[in-house]
Parts: sequence; C-alpha cells; structure tokens
Amino acid sequence: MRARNLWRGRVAVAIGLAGALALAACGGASDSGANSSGEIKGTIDFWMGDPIGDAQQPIMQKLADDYAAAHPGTKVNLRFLGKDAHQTYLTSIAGGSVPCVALIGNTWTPEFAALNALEVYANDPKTLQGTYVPGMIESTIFKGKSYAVPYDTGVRALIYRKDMLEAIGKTAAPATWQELREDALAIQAKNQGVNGFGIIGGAHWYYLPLIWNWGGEIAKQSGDKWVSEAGSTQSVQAFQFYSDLLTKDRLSPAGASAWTAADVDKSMGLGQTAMMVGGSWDLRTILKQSPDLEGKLGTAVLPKGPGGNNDTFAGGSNLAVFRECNNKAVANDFVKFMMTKENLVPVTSNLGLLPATNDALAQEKATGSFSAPLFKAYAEQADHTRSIPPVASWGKVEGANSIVNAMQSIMSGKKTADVAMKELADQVNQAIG
Amino acid sequence: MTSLLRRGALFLLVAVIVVSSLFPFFWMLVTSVKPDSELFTRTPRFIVTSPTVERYTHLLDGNIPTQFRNSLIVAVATTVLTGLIALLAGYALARYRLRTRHILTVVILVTQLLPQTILVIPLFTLFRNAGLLNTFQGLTLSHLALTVGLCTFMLRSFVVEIPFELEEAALVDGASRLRAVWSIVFPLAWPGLAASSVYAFITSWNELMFSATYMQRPAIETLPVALQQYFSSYYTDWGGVMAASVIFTIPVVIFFLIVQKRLMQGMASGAMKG
Amino acid sequence: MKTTIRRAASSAIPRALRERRLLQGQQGFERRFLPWAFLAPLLAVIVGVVGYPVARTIWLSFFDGEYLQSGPFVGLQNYRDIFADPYYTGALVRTTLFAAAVVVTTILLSLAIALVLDAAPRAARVLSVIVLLPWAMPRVASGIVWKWMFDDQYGVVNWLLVNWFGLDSFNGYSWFSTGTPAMVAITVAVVWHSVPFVAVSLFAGLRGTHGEVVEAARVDGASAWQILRRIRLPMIRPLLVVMTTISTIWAYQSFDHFLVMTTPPGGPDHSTEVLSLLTWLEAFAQLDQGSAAAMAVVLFLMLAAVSVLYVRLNREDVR
Repeated sequence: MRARNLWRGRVAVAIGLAGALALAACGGASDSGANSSGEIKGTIDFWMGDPIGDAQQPIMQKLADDYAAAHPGTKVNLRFLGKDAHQTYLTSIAGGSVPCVALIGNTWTPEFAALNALEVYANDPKTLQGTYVPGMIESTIFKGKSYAVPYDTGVRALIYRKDMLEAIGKTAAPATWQELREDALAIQAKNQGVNGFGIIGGAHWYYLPLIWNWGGEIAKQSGDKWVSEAGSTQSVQAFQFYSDLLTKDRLSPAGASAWTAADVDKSMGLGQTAMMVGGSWDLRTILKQSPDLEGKLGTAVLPKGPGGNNDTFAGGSNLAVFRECNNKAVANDFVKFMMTKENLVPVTSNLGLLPATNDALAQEKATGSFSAPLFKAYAEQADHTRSIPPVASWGKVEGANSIVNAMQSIMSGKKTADVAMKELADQVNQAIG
Repeated sequence: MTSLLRRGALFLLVAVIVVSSLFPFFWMLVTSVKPDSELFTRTPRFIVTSPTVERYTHLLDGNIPTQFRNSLIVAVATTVLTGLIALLAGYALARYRLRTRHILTVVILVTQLLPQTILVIPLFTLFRNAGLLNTFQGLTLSHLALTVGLCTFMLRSFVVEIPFELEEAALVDGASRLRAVWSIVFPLAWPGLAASSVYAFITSWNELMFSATYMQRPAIETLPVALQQYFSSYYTDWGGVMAASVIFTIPVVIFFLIVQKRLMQGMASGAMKG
Repeated sequence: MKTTIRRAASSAIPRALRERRLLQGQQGFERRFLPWAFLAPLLAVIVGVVGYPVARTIWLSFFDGEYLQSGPFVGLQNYRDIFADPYYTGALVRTTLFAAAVVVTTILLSLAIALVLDAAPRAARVLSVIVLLPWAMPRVASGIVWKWMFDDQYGVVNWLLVNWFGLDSFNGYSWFSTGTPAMVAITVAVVWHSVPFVAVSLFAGLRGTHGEVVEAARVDGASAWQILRRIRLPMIRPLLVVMTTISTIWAYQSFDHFLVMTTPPGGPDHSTEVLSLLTWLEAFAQLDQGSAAAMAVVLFLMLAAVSVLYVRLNREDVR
C-alpha cells in the first residue's frame, strides 16, 4: 500500500511537470525585448564569433555591462560562438532567430547582406570615408550600399624565437619564404624536439595569401563575374611549397595538417616551436601561457615570396545590425557606443587588433599598444594587405572548407598539387560564379 | 590445476573488461585536475601530484550552470512525458486486441529506425513557423520523436508480464478500468518505467544534432552543444575541456547508478523475449 | 448486481474466455474509446514530430532548395545530383564500411564479454553495471576523451603502443591527419560506446539459456564449446539478430563522434565524411535543403532495407 502511495505522489509530480511545460508553451519563451517606440529601453542580443584569445570575453562583457549601466532599463546579452560561427549565423538567419547586433567576419558581410539579413548602415558608402580606414569600408559594401560598420582589422605577421635564431647565427628574421625554410631546418637540426615552423593546415588564412606572394591571384574579375585563379602555376607552386614544409621538411608533426592557430600557440608556449605566422592575438595568447618567453620572442613582417611581395589578408570584423532585430533603437545606439574611441581602443589594444576608425588607429599607432616594439611589425604589415574577392557567395567557399580540404589533400599525398588546385578552382567558380 | 588456470584466465579477462570500460572515465577525471605542467608530457602521468580544481571553479563561474539547468529541464521533461505516453500506449497494445495492432507495431518500429537527419529539416521549419525554435518545448518535442517508440515497446512487454488476474480482481471489485490501471498496473510496471526512463533521459541528455540546430540562444543552450562549441574553440585547453566533460557526464552516471538495478531487470526481461 | 454474477461465474468459466469477456469491457464505450485514448498521445507524437517531418522531407527532396527555402519542383534532379557527387558516393561507401566494422566488432566483443560475465556468475551483477557504464557517458564527452587519448603528442594510446607493444612507428603518430587512421580511431570510440548495451543484453539472453536442455547435454558429455555452439547460441539467435539490427542502425546514424573528433568536420579533405554529417552540413552549412532531403531519404531507405533483410534472415533461420 505504501509503495502505491509513493507512486501516486510521483505521478502527481510528473503530471505537474508536464502541465508546467504546457503552460510555459502557451506563455511563449521568446525575448521580451521587443520595442518599436524608439525609446532606449529593453534587451538586445549581441553575438560574436571565434574568440580571439582569452582576453575577448571579459572585455566584451565589461562593455556590455557599461552600456547597461549608462542606459538604465537596457541589457545586452552576449553570446560567443565557437569555430562553427558561420554556420550558426546561417542557421539562425534561416530560422529567423537572429541577434540584434553581431560582430561578424568581414568576408561574411556581403553574404549576409545578400541573404537580406542585415540592416543598411549607409546608403552611400562614400559618407563613411574620413571616419573609417579606407580598406575596411570595402568589406561592408554589397550592391552599392554599406551594411555594417567596420570595427577592427587583424593582420598576421611572423612570430619567432630570437634565441633560437641567434643560435644558428642569424640576427634578423627571414625575409623570404625560402630563407624561412632554411632557417627552420637549421633550428630543427640544432634543437631536438623543436618544430622549425608551426604549420597550420586546418585554417586557410595561413596559406591562401602565399598565392599572392608567389605572384598569383585568388580570383580575377572578368566582366561582372569572378573567375578563380587557384589553378594557376603560381597558386599550385605556392600550395606545393607550404605542403612540402610539412611533408618533405617535416617542420611540424604530421598532425599539423589539421592544426589550427591554437595548436601552434600551445606548441610555442611549450617551447616546442620556433617560428609561426600569427596575429598579435596569438602573440598575447602565447605570452599569457608562458610569460617567461617575453624576452625570447620577436616579431617581423611576413617573408616575401618569389612574386616579390609579402601581402596578407586584411582580416577583420564588422559590427552589423540585423534586419529582424526587434529593438533597433537600442541596437543602433549600442553600435554607436561601441564605435567611440574610448570604447574601441581598449578592445583592440587588449586583443591586439587594429581599430577601423581613423582617430582610434592614430592613437594606437602613436601611443597605443602598437607602438610597443613587439607589436610594431603588425602596424607595418597592415600596409601590405589585400582583400579576398568581394562576392556574396565567398562565404560558401569558406563554409565548405574547400581551401582547407585542397591543402590537406596535397599534404596527405592523396592528390597532386596540380589536381587538387584545379579541383579547388572548379569549386570556387561554382560557388562564386 | 586446470581449474586454477581457468580461474586465472577468467580473472585476467575480467580485469581487461573492467579496465577498458572504466579507463576513459578515469582519464577524463585525472586530466581535468592535472595542472598543465603535468598534462603535456610525452610520458603520460597516471597519478596527479598536485591536483587543481581551478578549472572547475572557473567553469562554474561561467555559463555551465545555466546550460546544465537547461539540459536538465529538457531531459526531465522528455523522460516524464515519454514515460506517460509510452506506458499508456504500451498498456493499450498489451491489453486490447486491436485490429490495427500489427500496423501500429510496424509504425512504431519504423520510428525507431528513422535517421535523425530525415527529421531535422522539416522540424526546423515546423518549429520556426510555430514559434518553437529556441524553446524548451520545441526541443523536448523533437526528443520525444527519438524516445517514445522504443519505450512503448519496452513497457508493452512489461504490461504483458503483469498477471491479468490482479487487474481482473480490481475490476471485479467494481473499480473502473482506469482505476485498475492506475492502482495495479502502473505500480507493477516500475522496472519497465525505470528502464525506459534511463533510455529517455540518456537519449535526451546526449542529443546533439537537434539541440545544435534548434537552440540558438545562449540562455537556453544545452550542454552537448555548449561542450561541442567550447571544444571547437578551446580544444588545446585539454584540462578545461575535460573538466567540462566531467560536469556533463556526472548526472547521467548518477541517474544510471540509481536505477541500474531496475534497468538490468528491464533489459533481462526484454532479452528473454528477444 | 452485475459484480455478484460475474464473481459467481468466474470460477466456472475458463480463463481465456474470462479474459476475453473482460477485454471486451463492460461497455462498448470503454472498449472502443479507451484504448484509443491511451494511444492518442503516442499517435500525436508519431504523426506530429515523426510522420509529418518524414512526409515533408520526401516532398522537399523533389524541390530545389536554397537558403532553407523551397524552390521550384525539380523531380528527381536532387537524387541525380547527389549520386553524381563523388563526395556523396564516397561518404556512402565510407559509412557502409564503417558500419560493417562497427557492427562486427561490437557483436563479437559483446558476445565475448557476455560469455565472460556468464562464466563469472558471482561477480556478474557488479560487472554488468561496470560494463554498461560507458553507455551512460555522453557521446560528445566520449568523443572528446578519445580524441585526447589518440592525441599524437601527449596521447595515452600512442604511448601504450610504443612502450607496451614496442611499436616505435607510433611515436608521435598522427591519427587524425589522414582518413584511414582517423576512421580507425573513431571506430574505436564508437565501439566503446555501443558495446555496453549489446553486451549486457546478450548476457541477459545467455543467462536465460541455462536449463534442462543444457543440463542434459552436459550429462551426455558435451563440451562447453559444443553446448555453446549447438544449443545456447541458437537459442539467443533472435536476440543476436535484434542487436545486429540495432547496432547497424546506430552505426549508420553516427554523428556526434564525427562532429567532435574531426577538423574540419568530416576532414581532413572529406576523408571522414559520413552520411549523417554530410546531410546535416548540406542542410545547415550549405543551406541546400533539397539535396539534404534527398540524402536523408536515401539513408532512410537503406536502413529500412537493412532491417527488412535482418527480419527475413531471422525468420528463415527459425524455420
């Protein structure tokens, strides 16, 4: 009898739970931030992608809190997306559950604009000139209108171990890729268990620019269409060179074909890698992990290729307001707040990025973090950057990991560089054509 | 002598089974409390000399408690609803000779072999239109699709086991059928309910594909998604990732250990019937 | 009134008849209405979140679909497209090989474990809890742990292979930079996760085979091996078939381990891309719901075919 009563009690609990669930369903769990009155009140969601080092989350959180404190009755909910950020955005755009404001990769901006997901920021992009760094405005434009505010640029440069380079009799960082290869081999011969160069097979940002360095192009415009140049001799040679660093010269463990920057950061932090291509955010991550490396690390602009240049990506992020945001008053106001020099500089200087507004950039270069010796190389490298083709469907190329797959298939020996790059060109053409 | 040999061999086999079952648990736990200096060593260290709980305190300060709560809400709701739905349906299938019983059985069986990928797209649009995206209700509903079929079968076989006479006696006493079911069948179906609950709870708690697709807001994110994202960004922080995995694993293991006796009973009686 | 009559009758009428009468219920209302009331929630779930989506997916597979919106009707074009796509056919073959490896290993290991448990009756209770435990570890967590154990530099697997088995070539061996070893590592993780349920079920089945027949055979001098092969395994054959079916379905649907353990998902260079992962990426990374729907339908048909095949096999064997 007792058992039965007990059971009855549990059933009651169960039914209660089910009922509560049903009630909650009626109540609706959607955000209560809806606000169309234009008043600065209510809640907005603010998303951002792949974290740039450990410092990003606390700083962004502080800015969100500051904003809410300055505007009583508002709240900014943060969400940090992982490596799958691009996919998460696409899914939420398709599902109609977008955030109000997002810090998105600049290569995604035309794509999201083409999906009709973003609010127009400026009907005439020319009005942005003067306020923002010229190269950065371009990435916000889709069909003649600007859909986002340029926020920051990040460039990569060479990070190396001064002490190891000195030990092989070199005082300066390698100036060409060939020299880098030789130095790395020499260091590796001298230091057991040290990787000469940190290879990053899992992220295309680290080797796609080599195509430029070899004198090639990623894509060329013909008429109003873009045609991939990935199959060109220069492209094939560039990818072959990077792959050989791993497969022939063994400058990193075999697993490096799937490494991303975080792996190399870790390896450098553990003193097991001598050189890497990395952003200043990588440098900060390494130093945070192993502060004792401070005096041993050096930075320099990237080495040049046979094409005579050392151009790299103008990576970076834009702040965008989504069209389906239900509290645009707060969203726009928050964007304004984020773009002031006082709020922008702490972020960029702590993350090691260059701000995209002219006044903030001037301050950073003169007295800010990029005046420090270790970070000067980044400011210098910023003058040697290019953009990827400004087409809406470039996101598909990144989304399908086509470039990474091409590199990995060369590294694994599954395909020759010729075949892999021809296939890549086809895939890119299919996506952007 | 041969018997001694036999026992020795058996002991060895048992040892191998135990170690290979438990080692990943042990390794997860050990990794989560090792300081980095002991973690990244070419020769793995099986004993921690200076354990640290820093990673746990750090994680518990973050979003993990919320995600934990979210997962618990969805898993408990799924478990309770599955239990109710499957017990009622299992009873009906066991006690009534419905003419459509065979069709029903086939239909329920088919739900069990559906790939999740065939459900994921339409449910996305369905939930979008019904405003169920980013809600616990939506995710719970999608999890029911994965659990009710097998649980109905489990419970049907339990109800069949319950001697009909008991129920009959109650009916004869003038109780209505509902009362009889309520007071006789439900209490006796406990082991079956326990087995189906573990199944439902574990299925829901672990589920990744639906959760990753339908839950797009930080406040309602569940653990599998959070862990997968955390891992994809911070995978080089093996200690932190392992600590998060431990937190994720604990509830299932506890729940499992609580009901394991009933579960074994359930599986045994299920196995008898094949 | 009614009850007294029934009580008087109950002892005289045979049980089957009584049962039947009771089943038919006191009122037509109860007989007609009650079972359906009991079944209604289940049917609602089946129709709403299973039936409708399946029908919808089949429908969508005949339409073009970009950005998760339905485009024009294209007939069988999506099916033609996916079968012309080498990545899809590659994934189809890969998933099938993977499933075969997982199922065979799972069944053999489970059977071995079940026999060990059966041979150690006193420890069996505690042991089966231990054996079942990996089933309780969330798949995402187990994928992460195994990835860590298979780490090239600091992984315990490589260390074990080098130091215990003297296989020096595994020093720093990278499991995840080419397809085959990556698939092996993932197979190990998936098998570790799927063995427990099967092993404990088989053990429960084996325990039920102790009885007069086995005893008689033993008295007749049959060896333990003979008894196992000739009597006990045939007795649990239906269970074996069910378990094979279940693990086949599970293996074909593997998703979590692949998403967690490979970089990028399905990489390197598509070499670990399996059907469920490819379908999901097609839908939610490429946003091409037409092709994704077609892929889902094909997988469903394959699983249905496999199940029917197993059921057939089982029936013929029994005959």
